[in-house]
Amino acid sequence: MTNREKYNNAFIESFDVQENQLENLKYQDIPSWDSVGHMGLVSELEDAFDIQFETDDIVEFNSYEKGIELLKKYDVIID
Amino acid sequence: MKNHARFHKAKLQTVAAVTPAKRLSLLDFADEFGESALKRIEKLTGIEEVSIAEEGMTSADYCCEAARILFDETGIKPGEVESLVYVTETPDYIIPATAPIIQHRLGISNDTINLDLRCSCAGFVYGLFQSFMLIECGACDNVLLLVGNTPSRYVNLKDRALLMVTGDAAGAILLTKSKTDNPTSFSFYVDGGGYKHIYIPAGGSRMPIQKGITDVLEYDDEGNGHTLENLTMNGLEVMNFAVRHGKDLINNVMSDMCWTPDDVDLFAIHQANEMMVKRIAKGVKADMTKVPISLKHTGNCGLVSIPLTLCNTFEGVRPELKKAVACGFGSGLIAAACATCLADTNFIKTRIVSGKQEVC
Repeated sequence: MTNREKYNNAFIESFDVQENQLENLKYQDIPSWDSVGHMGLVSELEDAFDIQFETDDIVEFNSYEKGIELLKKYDVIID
Repeated sequence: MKNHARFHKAKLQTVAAVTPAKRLSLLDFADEFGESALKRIEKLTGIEEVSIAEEGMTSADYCCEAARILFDETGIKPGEVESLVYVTETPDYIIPATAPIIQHRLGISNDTINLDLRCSCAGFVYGLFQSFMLIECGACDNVLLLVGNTPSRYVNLKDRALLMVTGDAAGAILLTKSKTDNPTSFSFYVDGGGYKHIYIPAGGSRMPIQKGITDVLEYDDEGNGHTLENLTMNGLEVMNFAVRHGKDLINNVMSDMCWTPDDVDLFAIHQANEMMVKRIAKGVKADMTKVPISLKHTGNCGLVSIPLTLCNTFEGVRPELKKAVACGFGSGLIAAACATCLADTNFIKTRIVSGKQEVC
């Protein structure tokens, strides 16, 4: 499974959304991406990539695209 | 460190906890919020149902129930209590404090030190701190610490996020003078700049209740409905505060006691939700087998969640709990942690009560 697939799956699992909804998706755009859902997404990504997000990064993580940028800090490249 | 304190002369002798019999199951709201949304919340928070105070019952009523159980189980008589500390964010009245009412109701002596503390999810640790101070300074040889909260009274039925995680409960803890040295460490952090992150805007002196103004239903960015008279929470900001400072404070008290995470026998972390407990535990490198989680049938019971978790997890004296850490965090924003020995502490199994309102 590629990193992109892992990344997308985390969103799909956490928010019950389709892959074609992910581009430009932002925090609170959909009811399931609320604060509780956000923590679920963070946990899914940490498990998928075996990392632990810094607290600041969890707060800064406010969109699908921003997550890709933040993951670079943890040496996770989403191609 | 300025935010730090060390004590030696007190110990927790007995811990009791009660929850109301009434439960609100998340699935009761399937029509309102959708079953898949509820199942997602249940999976993420670890909460299936929340305990709800019965009509007319207050935090003080449930604390009296917990205190009576403690008296019955330990044989201590109300007249032997030398200090009463009551911690809550849901007092019976704006004036007076609730502790004197509890003193009268329980038959505790008139010659006691008696006070309320207003503190929420860090309130158990703050209550311990106050109680340790009273014993350490020689003012008394025992303290009855009561912790109670009924936030469900302030949660709007249209607030999906809070309705399905916020529970009501009460606890009673007897602290006594220790015959042997009992080193105990406390550490604190506060950021009042974040006070609006857990907040009931109206009903106090700053914004009195006004019909047609403070009772108007509005929806926030996450689709949760509430009025100015309801509890509101910015979950992400609270999580940010809790994870950052909860971890730091636990590390502070472990460091002060010269304990490593492996040395610690118990991490009793405020049960905000399962994810947050696990995240803080992971942050301090705690072995998860030493981190009890007990939210499933009560929800997040605020300042009672730590004693409730202890009484859900343990029964009787547990000599293996020589090195225990407790950490609470929440409204204020306030966080507090404590490290002490619980090897001599008697835990009374949590009771479910359906008491009646008592009027003095």
